[in-house]
Amino acid sequence: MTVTKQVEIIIDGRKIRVPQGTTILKAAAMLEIRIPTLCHHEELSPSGSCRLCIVEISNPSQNPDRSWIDSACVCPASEGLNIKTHSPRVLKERKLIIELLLSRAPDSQQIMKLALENGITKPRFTAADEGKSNCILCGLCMRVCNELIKAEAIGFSGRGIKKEVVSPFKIAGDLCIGCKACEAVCPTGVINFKIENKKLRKQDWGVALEMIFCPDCGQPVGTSVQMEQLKEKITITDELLSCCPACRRKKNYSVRTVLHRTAKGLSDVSDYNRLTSKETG
Amino acid sequence: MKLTGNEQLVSVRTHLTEKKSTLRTVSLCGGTGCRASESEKLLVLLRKTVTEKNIDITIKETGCHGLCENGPLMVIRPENIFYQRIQPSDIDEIVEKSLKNGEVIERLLYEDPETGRKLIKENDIPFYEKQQRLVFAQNGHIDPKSIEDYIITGGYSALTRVLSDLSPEEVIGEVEKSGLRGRGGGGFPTGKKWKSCRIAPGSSKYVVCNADEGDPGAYMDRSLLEGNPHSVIEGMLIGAFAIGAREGRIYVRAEYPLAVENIIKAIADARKWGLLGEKILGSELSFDIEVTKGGGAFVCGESTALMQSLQGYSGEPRTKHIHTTESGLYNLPTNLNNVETWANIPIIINRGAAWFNKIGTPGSKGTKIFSLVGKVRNTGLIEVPMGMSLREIVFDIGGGIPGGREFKAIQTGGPSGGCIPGQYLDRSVDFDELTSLGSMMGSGGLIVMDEDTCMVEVARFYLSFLVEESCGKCTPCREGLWQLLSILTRITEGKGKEEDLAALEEIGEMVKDSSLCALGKTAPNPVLSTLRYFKDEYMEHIVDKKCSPGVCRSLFQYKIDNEKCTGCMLCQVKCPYQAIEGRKKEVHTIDTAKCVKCGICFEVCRFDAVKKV
Amino acid sequence: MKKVGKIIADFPLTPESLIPILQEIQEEFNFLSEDSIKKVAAGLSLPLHHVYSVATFYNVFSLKPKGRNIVKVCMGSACHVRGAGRILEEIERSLGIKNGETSADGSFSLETVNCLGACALGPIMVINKKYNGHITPAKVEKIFQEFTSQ
Repeated sequence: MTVTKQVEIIIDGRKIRVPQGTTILKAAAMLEIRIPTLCHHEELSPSGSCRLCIVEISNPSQNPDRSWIDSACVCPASEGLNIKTHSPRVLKERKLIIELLLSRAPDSQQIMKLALENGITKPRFTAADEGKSNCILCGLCMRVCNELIKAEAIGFSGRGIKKEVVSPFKIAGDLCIGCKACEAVCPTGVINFKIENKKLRKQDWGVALEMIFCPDCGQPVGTSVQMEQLKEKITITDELLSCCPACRRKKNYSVRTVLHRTAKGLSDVSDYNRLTSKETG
Repeated sequence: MKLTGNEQLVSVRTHLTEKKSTLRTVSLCGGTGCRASESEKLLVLLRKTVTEKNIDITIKETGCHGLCENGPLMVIRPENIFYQRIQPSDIDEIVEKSLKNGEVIERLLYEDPETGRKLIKENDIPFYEKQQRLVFAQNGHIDPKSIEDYIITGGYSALTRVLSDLSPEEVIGEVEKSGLRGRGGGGFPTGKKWKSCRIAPGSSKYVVCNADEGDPGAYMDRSLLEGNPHSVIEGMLIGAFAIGAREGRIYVRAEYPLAVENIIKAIADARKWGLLGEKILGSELSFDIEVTKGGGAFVCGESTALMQSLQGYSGEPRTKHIHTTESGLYNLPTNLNNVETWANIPIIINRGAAWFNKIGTPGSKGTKIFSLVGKVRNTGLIEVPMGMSLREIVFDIGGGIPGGREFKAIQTGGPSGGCIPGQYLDRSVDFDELTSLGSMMGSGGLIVMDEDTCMVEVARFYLSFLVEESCGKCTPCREGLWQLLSILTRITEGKGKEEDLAALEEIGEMVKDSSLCALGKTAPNPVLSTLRYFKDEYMEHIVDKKCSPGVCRSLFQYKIDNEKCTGCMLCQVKCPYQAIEGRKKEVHTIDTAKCVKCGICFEVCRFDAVKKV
Repeated sequence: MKKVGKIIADFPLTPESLIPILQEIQEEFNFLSEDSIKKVAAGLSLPLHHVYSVATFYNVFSLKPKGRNIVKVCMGSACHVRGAGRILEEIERSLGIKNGETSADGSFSLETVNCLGACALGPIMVINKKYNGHITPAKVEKIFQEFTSQ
């Protein structure tokens, strides 16, 4: 095995040695420096698209007078980089980026909160779709669907301001398994599945999937397609599988293990739990 | 025939030269500009007439001659008679008088607008006189569909020199010494790029030619591919040898059907002649080229987006922390240069780096091809040494502004370039100088604007283009450009506020700084450069609610001048909106409620009676 | 659909064949139908969303059938400074359709293009393959009258 070279970088005045190629976002996390990000997820391929995690970088040994902006989630650490995560230039531009994101997702509680934290009270801008999509096009939903769940039910269409997340020809009707990972990772909260007439539905994607309800308490557990898939992957009795997490726990079965094994990496199991609790609550 | 060695190529060249040198030729321009002026009809007619009259002359359809404004163009050699604006009805006379008897038909000659003199030879025309044609040298001479034509003019001799006399390192050394910088926009030193690709580890390597000339108003690369495709192939062969690549790709705009046709034909011919394929000319070099048609996306001019597209994906750029020379196509080392850069390579090898290095300025060597378009008399393609002043280009070569109008600005560097005002006309074309003026070299579009151009509207136009062409991946470019466009639109509609200017600057700077790729990083240039040089015009729109050049329609109205109107009714007849009233021989009036300001009345009035107020 | 299958069969079944295949289908049928997109995805073993994103990303592709005659108006910089914007409006008025639309009877589709590379002749309108250069708003109506009378 080749040994990765260690490099020394400075983040907000603090020195740290990391393996060459470690992203600045990761290196900052080691120092417990929080850089905000919306499109990044540890378990998914990097995108570098929301640009919220921009930082100001210089390399004083090469050119002390030049600094540039890059996104921390994709920029690899290399020897001698001096990184500022909260310089005036970064804060000014980041605030503007948040303002633009808010124009896209004006109804999103999460984005609104982010805006408020950054001192944006009154949005100046209107997006091309007037914010109707409430989607910031971070692509997390399609990345999780394609890379992790491998259902390949959704993707991007178009380009520029006409870009959107779609399920072409409502193909999700056939491909979606109803795992709701997309809903879990969506940073604006705009992806919402609904249970109506015993089916899990997302109309714009053509999804209508048979739901399984907990035989003990009647709470929704998951779609039958997903349950079938789960059965192939883990050892669990049909009885336990058809139960909701709470009832499973009652039956003394570790819900964390099941979930962790089925959706490895997708969340933090907590995301998954958040999902289920949303339904049950 | 498959050539197996250098000596064979030389002897074939000698043979072909002897066979063809005695013949007279007539070259008809078959570039897209002239074809749009129906040169193809002329060609058919010319062929027919020459056969009928049994004249011994070679008819060639060549690539673009450059002076597209005056097309269709024709040159008769060896007399070098240059005819322009030829009509089908002229063909008979041309054949009878000029082709048969070498007589000159005065009517078809170029007339110098200054002196009124009729000029016979191409090179006497001021448009050509100041140019230095290296890359374009053969464009009006050779038949692009004939590999023989290219070989006669010394084609593939740079390749043979490289294969027999030079090591890959020496080739890279020559290119480095020449000082050649990429002609596609970035201006990165070509030799340096080649070197980093050569030393990059990889099981296989690629050389790619970017022929996705997406800049509106620029068509240099198209004309090269159309007019001299083998020069690009030869350049790529030399690059492949130097870098150690076996495979080449040409990514060409699908909107350029003739360029696609000609390059595909040239590649097929080169294969037949043993100039592409295994063990080229008996050497160790094996290399072949595939052509891929682009899908029509400006962003695919960006290297990582182009490679995404070549692999069958949407053209979304990725961050370039690892250069494409190390990890490009299929994650293998890939050297990407544009058409013009590749076409420079054989010249550098043939004439030597030292010779090439003498042309141009300290930071920009060689010549540059520009498409000189817009409000300029001689629209067309020009090739000039780096360092020529913008003034010489616009006024000496371009013949100045038509219609006695005043020069206002010249836009360089494509849609994300900048607008340079008159006070900098004496600055020269040079990578660094144009950048210092807030613009850039780009791929070489020069769009001349006169006093009738509204700079705010120009900025709005470029932004609307860039909004359409942004891939939409990153927030600053996608959303930031949209906001810039919204503000600019508001200003041109007379709804601008003074704080808009600060917002334009704020958003512009952020997009420039924070965007993911070069498209976004340069996209605010049209706004920022017009703000820098034409702030008064912005203020006029915002404060006075006026657009002096009379472009922004919310800010002026058409009115009929009572003194000048003769009541001829022409405007009334032509108005598609029935917005003009008035009886014959009486002064007409425009009903502003019905008028949509299409400008037809203004255009058709023969008495200059329709005014913009 | 048979033809689509034939087109696919002409190419190596690798992802990089996607764009050339779609280009051929577009050329053949003037648009990409739902069925053809699905067939290409299956043929190349690519996810449908991938094929769809490519089909909607590039300008050359259209998911709607186009008219029998295609009118392209050049919106390049050179044509723009020579007044292409007003020409487009005049064409829209004359044909009764907006940019990007196809007339109800399927006779015309109106499109704008970024540059036709014939800047010297600007402003330019191309009807099918015929270039009409140095257009003015007043000339538009006449050009179409001549075209339809042919």
